[in-house]
Amino acid sequence: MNTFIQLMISGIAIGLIYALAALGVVVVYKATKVLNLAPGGLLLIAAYLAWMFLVQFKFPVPVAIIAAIAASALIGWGIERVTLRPLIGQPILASIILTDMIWFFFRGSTFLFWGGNPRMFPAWLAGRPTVFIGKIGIPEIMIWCIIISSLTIIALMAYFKFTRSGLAMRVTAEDVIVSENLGIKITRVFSNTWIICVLLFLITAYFVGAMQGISQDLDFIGVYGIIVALLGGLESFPGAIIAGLVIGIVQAMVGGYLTGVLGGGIVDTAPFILMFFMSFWRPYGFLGLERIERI
Amino acid sequence: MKGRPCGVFDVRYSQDRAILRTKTHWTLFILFFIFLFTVPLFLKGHILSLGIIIGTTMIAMFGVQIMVGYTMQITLGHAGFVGFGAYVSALLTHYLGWNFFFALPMAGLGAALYGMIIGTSTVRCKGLYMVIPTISAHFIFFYLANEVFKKWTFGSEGIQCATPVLFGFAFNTDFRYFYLVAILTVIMGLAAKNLVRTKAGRAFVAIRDNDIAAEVMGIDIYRYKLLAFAIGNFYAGIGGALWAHYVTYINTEFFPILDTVYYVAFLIVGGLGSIMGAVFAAIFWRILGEGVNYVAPILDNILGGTAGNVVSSMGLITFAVVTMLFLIFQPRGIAHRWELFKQSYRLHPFNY
Repeated sequence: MNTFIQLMISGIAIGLIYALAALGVVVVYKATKVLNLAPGGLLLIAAYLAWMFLVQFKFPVPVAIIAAIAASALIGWGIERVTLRPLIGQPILASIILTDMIWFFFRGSTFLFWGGNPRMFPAWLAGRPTVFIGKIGIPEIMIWCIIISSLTIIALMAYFKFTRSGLAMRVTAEDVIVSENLGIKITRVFSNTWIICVLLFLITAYFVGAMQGISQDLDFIGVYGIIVALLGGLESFPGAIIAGLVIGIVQAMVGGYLTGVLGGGIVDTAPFILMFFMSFWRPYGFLGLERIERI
Repeated sequence: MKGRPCGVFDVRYSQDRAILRTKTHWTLFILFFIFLFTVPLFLKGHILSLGIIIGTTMIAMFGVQIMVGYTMQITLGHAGFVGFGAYVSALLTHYLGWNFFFALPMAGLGAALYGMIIGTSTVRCKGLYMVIPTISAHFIFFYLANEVFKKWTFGSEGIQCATPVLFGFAFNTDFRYFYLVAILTVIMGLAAKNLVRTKAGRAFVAIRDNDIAAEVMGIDIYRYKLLAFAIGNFYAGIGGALWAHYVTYINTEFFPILDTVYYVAFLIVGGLGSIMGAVFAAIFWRILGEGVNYVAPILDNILGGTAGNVVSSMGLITFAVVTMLFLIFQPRGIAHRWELFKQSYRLHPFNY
């Protein structure tokens, strides 16, 4: 039983990280209808920026975090301004592949600037102790991850529901041309979206870096982020959380109980097998909108 | 001027349908064949092998074009399908001792079957959500090759692929293999070009443009989507098998997830929705890759070689930047430029 609970906890931890990475995909899709395939690269660049200010430049902690936020926001703005704005009105597939190229670009850049060696966050972030309840250990960073990711999600949903610019995003998602006619500046909406997206990846990057260290392998988490967003439904924040937890727990359980029978590779493959069958049952994801179409 | 006056003035349907319409076309076509079959005489080593790789990529690219460009079933698992074909052919020749020329169609059919199994998900899944089953296909292929059939595929150690032999004639040099690849590429290309002009091809286009409208018009969209998957992956399998027997050694490392993205990305650079687009895509992709491989070590030397960082990052950054520039400034691809060029050639003395 203890093993089960322990596996469950590690599954929830990794699931939350997938869910956070998926939020960046969902927020972009909600506002711009572009499937964001860049989470791998954005997660990498955010993690390395956070690391750079904290460890490489040895800024004091608050300054380092503010600097990382500023740099991430700048990157988000730049992505929208330089690459995606010219593609407004072009076929959607072009934008999607473009986001994918952003992934490769940042993956290459992190190689170029920081090399392939794994990096670690300082001890106050990465070396948090493990809290024991009875015999079950829960890493403290995970508790923080649960708290902060819940707060982030609530804040995001509130932003979309109650603020003017959130409303503008929802309108833009519905119909670009109509929203332009209504006097919404869609370029500003799009750049806001991308800034929020990169900031979300910065939050994710702090937790991922604390749990697993920073290396180029992080972009695999980005791939899972895309998958989780699709599985949860592209329009839904709660869906992303549910799907992230499902995938995380499935992975942990399979890793704990089935690797002996099915081999180590099943850990990475099980979510994909699950998803393949999911696409028959709920092709729009858990909580995604099933669009009723007409000719 | 022996050709037709500027503009297209067909007077018979057969003339309108023909792929090669004018005498200029025929001349260019024959000149192209002469060029294709004499060019290996002048090229050596590296460039020749680049030509072979371009050919195999092009065959796989025709498959992506049929799936993405014509039917709009976004596939992010094409490297997996290519690898599936490569493994089928490798296993058949390695264990059953089949001749490569029997294993090649089987590789295509095996990949087509795998594609159809994945394609069953199109019964409800569509649009962007097609990313789920296809990307799953890629990872399930990895799992199958590395774990389930490890006894036969030797997992990550990789498997040897025999050199093709036809009637005692071994295709064991680049020079000989080039002809094999060239002939097969031309055949597969013409087949693809004709396929999209048939009933099935028009059904694909109808599904791409509006699947509900297509269904209302009586097209069995599920059947045709499955057919698109089957044909697209048949091409992938053939391309993969040809490539595998050229490099004579494969493991799953050769079919990375990055390649699945490049197949779609360079297809857009080449141009969606025309066979010429796939041709441009394959050529552009491989030549760009070759250029990067050539330039990166030099740059690494100049910049002081920080532990090979430049070499490993150059490829990614260059591919990303070039693709981005193409998407931003030429979102309809090289094939669109080619069409414009043909247009202006046809109207030559006038520019209306």
